[in-house]
Amino acid sequence: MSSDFDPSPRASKRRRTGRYGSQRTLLADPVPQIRHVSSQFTTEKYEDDVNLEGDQFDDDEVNTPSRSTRKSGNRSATSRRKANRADNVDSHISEEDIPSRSDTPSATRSLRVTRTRRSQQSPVDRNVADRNSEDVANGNNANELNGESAADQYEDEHNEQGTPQPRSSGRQRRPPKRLLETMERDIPTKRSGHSTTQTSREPTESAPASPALKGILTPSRKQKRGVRKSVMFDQDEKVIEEQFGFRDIETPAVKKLPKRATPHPKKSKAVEHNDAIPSAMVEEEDQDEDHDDVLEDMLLDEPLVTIPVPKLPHTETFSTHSLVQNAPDLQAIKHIVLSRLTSSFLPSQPPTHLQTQYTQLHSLLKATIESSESNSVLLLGPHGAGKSLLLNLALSDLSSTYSNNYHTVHLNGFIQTDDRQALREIWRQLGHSRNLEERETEDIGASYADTMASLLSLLSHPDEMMDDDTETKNNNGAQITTSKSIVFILDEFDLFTTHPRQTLLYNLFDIAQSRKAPIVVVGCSCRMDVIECLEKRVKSRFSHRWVLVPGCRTLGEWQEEVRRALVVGEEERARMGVVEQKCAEQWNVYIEATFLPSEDTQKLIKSHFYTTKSLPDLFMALYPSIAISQPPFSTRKATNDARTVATGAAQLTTRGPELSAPPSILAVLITLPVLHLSLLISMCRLETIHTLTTSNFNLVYTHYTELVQTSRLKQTAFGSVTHSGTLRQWGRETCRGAWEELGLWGMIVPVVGAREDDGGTRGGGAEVGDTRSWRSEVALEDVAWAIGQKFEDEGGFGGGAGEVLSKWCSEV
Amino acid sequence: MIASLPDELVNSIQQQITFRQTQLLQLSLFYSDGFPSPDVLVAYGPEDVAKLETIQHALTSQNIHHVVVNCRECLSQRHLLSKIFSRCVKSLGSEGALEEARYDRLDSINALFGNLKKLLQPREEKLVVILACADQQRGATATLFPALARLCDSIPCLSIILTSSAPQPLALHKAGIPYLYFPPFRRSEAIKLLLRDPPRLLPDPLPEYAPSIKQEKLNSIYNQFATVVFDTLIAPTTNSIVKYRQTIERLWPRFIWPLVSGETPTGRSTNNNWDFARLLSRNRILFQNEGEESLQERLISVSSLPSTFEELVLHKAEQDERLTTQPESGTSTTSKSPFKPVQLSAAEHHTPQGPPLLKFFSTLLLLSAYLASHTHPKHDIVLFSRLSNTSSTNRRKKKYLARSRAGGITKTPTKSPSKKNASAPDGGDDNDNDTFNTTPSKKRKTSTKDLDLALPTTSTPKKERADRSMRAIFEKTSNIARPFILERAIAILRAIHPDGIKMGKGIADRVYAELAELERLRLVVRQDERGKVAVEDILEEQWKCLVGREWVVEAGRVWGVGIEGWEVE
Repeated sequence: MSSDFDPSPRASKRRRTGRYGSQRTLLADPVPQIRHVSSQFTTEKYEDDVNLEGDQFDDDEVNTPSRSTRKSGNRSATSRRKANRADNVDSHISEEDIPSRSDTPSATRSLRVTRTRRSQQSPVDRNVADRNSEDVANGNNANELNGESAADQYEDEHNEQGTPQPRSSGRQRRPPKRLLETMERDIPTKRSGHSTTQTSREPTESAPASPALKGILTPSRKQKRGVRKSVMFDQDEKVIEEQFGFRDIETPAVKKLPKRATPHPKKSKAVEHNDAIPSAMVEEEDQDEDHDDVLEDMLLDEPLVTIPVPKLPHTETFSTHSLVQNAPDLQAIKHIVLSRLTSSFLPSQPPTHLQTQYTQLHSLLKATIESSESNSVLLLGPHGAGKSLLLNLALSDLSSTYSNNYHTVHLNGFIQTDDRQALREIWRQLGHSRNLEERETEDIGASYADTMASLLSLLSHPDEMMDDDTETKNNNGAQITTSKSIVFILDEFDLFTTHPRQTLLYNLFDIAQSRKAPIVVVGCSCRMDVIECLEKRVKSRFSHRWVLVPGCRTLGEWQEEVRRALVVGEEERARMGVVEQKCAEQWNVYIEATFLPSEDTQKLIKSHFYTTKSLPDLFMALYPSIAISQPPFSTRKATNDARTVATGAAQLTTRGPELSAPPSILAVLITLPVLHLSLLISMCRLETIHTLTTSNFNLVYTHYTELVQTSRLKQTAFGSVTHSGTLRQWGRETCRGAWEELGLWGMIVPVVGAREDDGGTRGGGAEVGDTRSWRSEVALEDVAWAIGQKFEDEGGFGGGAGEVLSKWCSEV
Repeated sequence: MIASLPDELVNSIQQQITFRQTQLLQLSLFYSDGFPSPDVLVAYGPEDVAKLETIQHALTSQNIHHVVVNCRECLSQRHLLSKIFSRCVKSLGSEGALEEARYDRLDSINALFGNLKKLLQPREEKLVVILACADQQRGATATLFPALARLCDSIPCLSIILTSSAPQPLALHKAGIPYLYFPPFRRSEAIKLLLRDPPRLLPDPLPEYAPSIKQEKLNSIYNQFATVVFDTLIAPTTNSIVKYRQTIERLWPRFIWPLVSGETPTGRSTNNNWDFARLLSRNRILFQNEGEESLQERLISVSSLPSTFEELVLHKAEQDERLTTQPESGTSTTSKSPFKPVQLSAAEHHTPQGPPLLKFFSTLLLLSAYLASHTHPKHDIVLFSRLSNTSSTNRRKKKYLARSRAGGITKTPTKSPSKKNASAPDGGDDNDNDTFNTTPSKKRKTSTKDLDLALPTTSTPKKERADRSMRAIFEKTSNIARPFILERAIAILRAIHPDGIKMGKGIADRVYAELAELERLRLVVRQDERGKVAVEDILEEQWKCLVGREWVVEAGRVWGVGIEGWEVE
């Protein structure tokens, strides 16, 4: 079945080239096939034009005959939707709808009611629909099979009617919606016009072993083609349209077909969330049994003297029993808290200071997913302010309600470094969420234009899919009436603006602002002026909606955020299911009463508030102390013990080098050996005294020897009481080694190219070795400071050298 | 929680990774089985501070799967990406599944992202990818490491650890990354490390003439030796513990040799035993120039002295043999130069002189290239003129050189042509002056242009003076090679050829071929003039000598030719 069916995108390619037309006849019913081939040619050409010339796109679309009608239809669609929400039957709805609705309570409950036109519905279709509803429970394959049969069924009818003639606009003819809807409800993938290329087949035939059909968004060129705006109407439809003028009303409803080809996202999400944790918990529990022994050992004899922290006073007084008893729970609690600190675990609530932003974003996303309103929005805020957190929170909240009604596509400007890769990734992610076979997505993206074309076609015509079948709705419940929206998340949005011509952004925004597939483009960026990076034509398509995600404003908010991250809420405890309530309470008490108020923690919290204001950074700094903290779970223990624990824990973070401080050149400067410092001083002196911004090794070495000799001379003149003060003059080779190391460590950087006033006669790059020009990364003051620090630290050793070096720094 | 540290970790802390307990503890907290790990961690600190070892140790002791990719070994970004992926595949043992799974070609970070996702998606267990020396990745684009740091966002089981020895932070553009600092070992730590793991203290097998040495005594000598080496040689020059160890290994045999060989200590003393102070005073040179030499990394050791126990034993055997055989063969020579044969043999033995790198003609050409690069054209007529090669002009030449040395600093940096003309006449002979003055000022200009200096072009008188003096310093010390044309090199070659080249004999063709050879060796380089198309006429091509004076002198010595007579300064 699969062989002669051939749903792969290659088929569409063949069709385009034409030489496959004959091939297709082998596989399929010749009569419809040939007809479609002819229509495909024009469509294809049209597509290519559109996609290669983005600007042209709109114009073309406007010219499309169906455009105006569709628009008017859309307008009425919104009002209709409202009406439906109130469970009122809209006056526009034809009489036929009423009975269907009355026997489908779920349909009335649903947000969108589609125009149903059962008069055209064939009995077979209805059967199919019924079967489909049964198949919901049976998993993807069965659904897809049915979908295919439905498609085939449609095809039969379609061919029988003999309507498909290429339209004068060159657009492809589309099957009547009432037919489409049947199959599309089952297989939303099919909306992309599988039907046009499908050969007629008996449903029964297709049922047993047909390949997985693709959903609406199946990245396959065949579908693209179908998806291409079709403006073909049935005679009846046209009549109806003329009469009622709402042909497009139901477009959103059509789109809201559930995609059952994929495993239920909700379920899978739940699996992701919950499965990971319990399994980890199980491991932990196992581990804990081991740990208990270890723990006991540790409690008995303190072997940890070498480790700075573990020597915690409370452990001796602490009853082993209570620890052992509580260890699994403690582990579980810590797991929750630590995963929140590593931001792998979403909190249940958005941060309080971001509440308004969250609501904004949430309603926006909800509008797209629920009401198919396309949109675009930018989240602007510094790294770690919570942009992704808000987004993920909103999405996870929505996923609980509209679990399988939307796809998300995550793109990252760092990872998808050009539009081509981004497109591939879009295809891959959409294909993945459709459970596509790998090879199908692989072939896509052979050329950029092709991929873009397919994406555009995929997204540009969702409203053609009508859901007329109340029966199906009846059986499948409300979810059926919802369509698939796509949430595009563009992290590091500013990097996408650097792509040539901003084609991807242009097209995404174009889709979002024109009436096409319901997508929402969410850009995250930490550049506040990112709007300015957009080209004019792109900017004009952007909705100019942006949400600023600021950091905490007050220390109080900051403290509250930290507290919220560290305590275990009721919901989470319930979600984990393992932790006893008592333990959680104790943990919370420990955190609030002991851990947070402790001096070290407060110091950490405040220093982060006043410096970086980045919660993730602070969380990382708190991570170790949480990981080793040992709250007293036994009630009889006084808080004194706990306090010592807390301080002991916080010791780790405060006593060691700061965990969250990235390396700085000054910190490294302190650790440099004396020779390196001497060379740096010589270099900086050359810069200060002779205004040499660049120098080479020869110069610096000469200056260095001069300095050493002068200071030696001085010391002998003064009688040199401090013999240790004499600096050794190192040989040229040794100095060169040190020089190279300085270059390696980035303290000095090579100057590339000639200076401007050199007239460009010298290529600096050609210089090697001693004559290569270098520039110092540090100033003389920095070196002086570093010397002060270094020799203060090292005390007696090298004190004389320190004196000499600091003299070099000061005597300019 | 203390219990989350397994006891074997505690043991190993004491044993293997010394002085890195804090880091080890923090690492094992971040990467433990039970708890979620941070996506990215950056370990930074200077080189040779056991970053990678500590990380590996922490992960191994927690039984966490990890792979190490050394960025320094990767030639390009793509190389790195494919290496990351292949290591991951290998560590998971799923090479077999590679064929079926149809992974993408790893041509971009996106492909790696997709492939890793495919590979690791079903996995629950943690996998840590350690990218060592991330700062030294060649050809890394600005998006590479930020992208790698974001890989873990969508692949939950993956964590990445980057190590870096650059003082600048890696631009990861990500918040919430723990940075773990590995400071260089302190003095006491470094010394203790060396004491704990000493090199071979005595030759093996011990030669029969060696007196019996108590282990305690040896140890105490070694302890003091290590401390002294650290203070005199290591601390001022390097942070590297590896270099410290190397230096100790190089110096120790020679240091302890007097004791091993049974030499009697000089000086009056009550007991004729070697102690540390005596060894130190005996081997003082080890802590001076020769010690410094041992700090330098060389492919071929330049030192002619034996430095390992084996060489020392061999050396002593040869010496003894000579001492015993020489009296038999003939006593007359021994009195004259008792040490000469020994030194010769030592030299033969320890510095095997291979064939010279360059042929005679090439060496001469290199010399002339060096001279052409480092001699001002105005001196050409004095130094290399065929006519000046007589005894009378030799004197004149020397006179000129002496003068130029004396007043060179004030004379050479003159900027304006008028000043130059003013200074030149009192500088030299009339004949020479003519040639000086006829040299166009253009040449002078190019020579000043050669200086890669940040000289302000605005000139107040005071500043100008300062500039001039600085320029003088610069010219004197910086040794920047000036470009020369082929014709000049040929002329100089003719002048410095010890046997002379016959007038009629054309050597230009040969010279050009040899010059190309030198260029291939990167001894000379064709000066590419930016913004200009390639010069068509080879006679206008500009060349430059790349190697320094020492190298050239060394090369010339092999053939017995030198540049000493041909230099101004």
